[in-house]
Amino acid sequence: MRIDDGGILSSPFIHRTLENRSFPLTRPSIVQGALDTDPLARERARDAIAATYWAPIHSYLCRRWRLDAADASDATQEFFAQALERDLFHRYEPERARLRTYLRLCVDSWLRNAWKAEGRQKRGGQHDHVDVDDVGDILTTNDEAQERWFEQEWMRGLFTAALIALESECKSAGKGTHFAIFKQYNVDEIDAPHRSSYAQLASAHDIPVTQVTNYLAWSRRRFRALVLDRLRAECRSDEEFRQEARLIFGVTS
Amino acid sequence: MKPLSDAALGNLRQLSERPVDDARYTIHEELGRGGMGVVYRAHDRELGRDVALKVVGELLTESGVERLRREARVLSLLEHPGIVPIHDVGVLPDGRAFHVMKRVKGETLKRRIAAGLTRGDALRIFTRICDAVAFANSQGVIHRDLTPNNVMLGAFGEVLVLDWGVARVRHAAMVESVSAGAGEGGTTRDGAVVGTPGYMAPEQAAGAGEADERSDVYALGCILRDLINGSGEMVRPLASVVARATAAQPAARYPDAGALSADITAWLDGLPVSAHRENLMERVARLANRHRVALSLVGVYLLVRFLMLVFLRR
Repeated sequence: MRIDDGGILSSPFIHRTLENRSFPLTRPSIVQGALDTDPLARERARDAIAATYWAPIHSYLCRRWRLDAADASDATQEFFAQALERDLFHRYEPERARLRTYLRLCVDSWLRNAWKAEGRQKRGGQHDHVDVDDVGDILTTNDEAQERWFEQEWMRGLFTAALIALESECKSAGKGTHFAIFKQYNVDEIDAPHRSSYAQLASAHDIPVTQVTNYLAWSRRRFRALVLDRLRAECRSDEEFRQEARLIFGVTS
Repeated sequence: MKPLSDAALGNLRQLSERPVDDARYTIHEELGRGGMGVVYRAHDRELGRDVALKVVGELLTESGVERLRREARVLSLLEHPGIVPIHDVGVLPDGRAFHVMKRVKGETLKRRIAAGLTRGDALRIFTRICDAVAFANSQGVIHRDLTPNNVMLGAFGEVLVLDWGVARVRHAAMVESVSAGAGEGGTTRDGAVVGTPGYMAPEQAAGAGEADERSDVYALGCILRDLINGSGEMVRPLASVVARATAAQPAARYPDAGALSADITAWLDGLPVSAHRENLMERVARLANRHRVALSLVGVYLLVRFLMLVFLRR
């Protein structure tokens, strides 16, 4: 499947996750879910992982492996397909690395082996695969700058997924204006030279200014809860959750 | 939906951290952040005044919220001009706990040191920090995270010790009052080492020994070192005071903040300090400095007598 540059988030994995109404808001850890014996729980967890990591992995492939956007989309799609097919998540050992580090290194290993296999195929060789032992080796020779960059992309993926979830939640709760105002004020107009005032937002949506304040406060509270909900789902322990929250919000505790 | 831009991501991160307005308090800009949370300027709509509202970071755990509440309880029992009074505690609509303190308009000691201080001012500030800590210690409360960032200097000369969130309560009566209790030694109840590197006593850093008054003395010694280094040359008696306060072994330190303060006050008054055995030259120099006015008068008198003698002989 090929997706355009600006539509990374329209990937089927993400849509499957968002359209899955039975997906609870407060979920058990997706890491645990990915290792669950119940195939349904496993599938949900994998979908959730894909929803958060699709964009970071796509960007990573463009940056680190110099793929163009279209090739990176194909490669990302292929990677997640392989990850499901070969039970990659089942081989994840949480005590060795964070999920994002593991996935990034799996991508490295997978692509490296794919290229090797491509060479072998020309000589009648095997198909590509992810070598988990190779990932273990790479873990010790980790490139810190790449890790930091991937971390930033992971954060972008996390916040974008939370924003999509907020949109979905608002739509189903009949709070479309809440989301529209929140997105306009906090996302769309952030890069614009002029940001609308509360009065302008009120006038544009035909509501009192006090409602703008209320809508923004409600949306902010829900958005924060959704970010933390997603974050908590990626962590195995309370301590890890606190560390990750500290990383995201830059707060010590 | 397109991926978020860097600016949008930054804004959303900041937005998610910032507390949502409480029914009573309107939250404004961030005033500072420490080991235990973030402090915001807030407006108390009920009383129509500005306050400092402190929110626990991203703890969201029972122990984190409990720690904040404990800090509030500890603070409410410490009534001293050098300890920031607490007005209110509560939970924000997003579930995070907060407490409301008097808003101190001024700057942190860290910033003041960076801006430069005279030796006398530095030491006078220091003795007032010691007074607040000595009072808390006398009530059985060990601060355990004293740093120049946790001391505020008010616009009218107030010196206030902040951030009692990891304080340890020692006296039985106090423990009963502060029902949540406190962790032993240098650790919190959940086992994390508390304190700030560079100011944390070795026994706290090791998480082994019991943190007591002398752990606070160690941190005060580090603050004193910063103050002296930021206000000129380190003279030997003061260097000895710093060395004794920051001795690796708790037994080699001052027994409490009051004793440390007494030595600094003695130095300011031109008296010998207990931490330093001075030689003859130092004693003469100190006495000369202490009695410089009298010595100056004697010198002028002798000079006049000498000049008169010379003049009359002609």
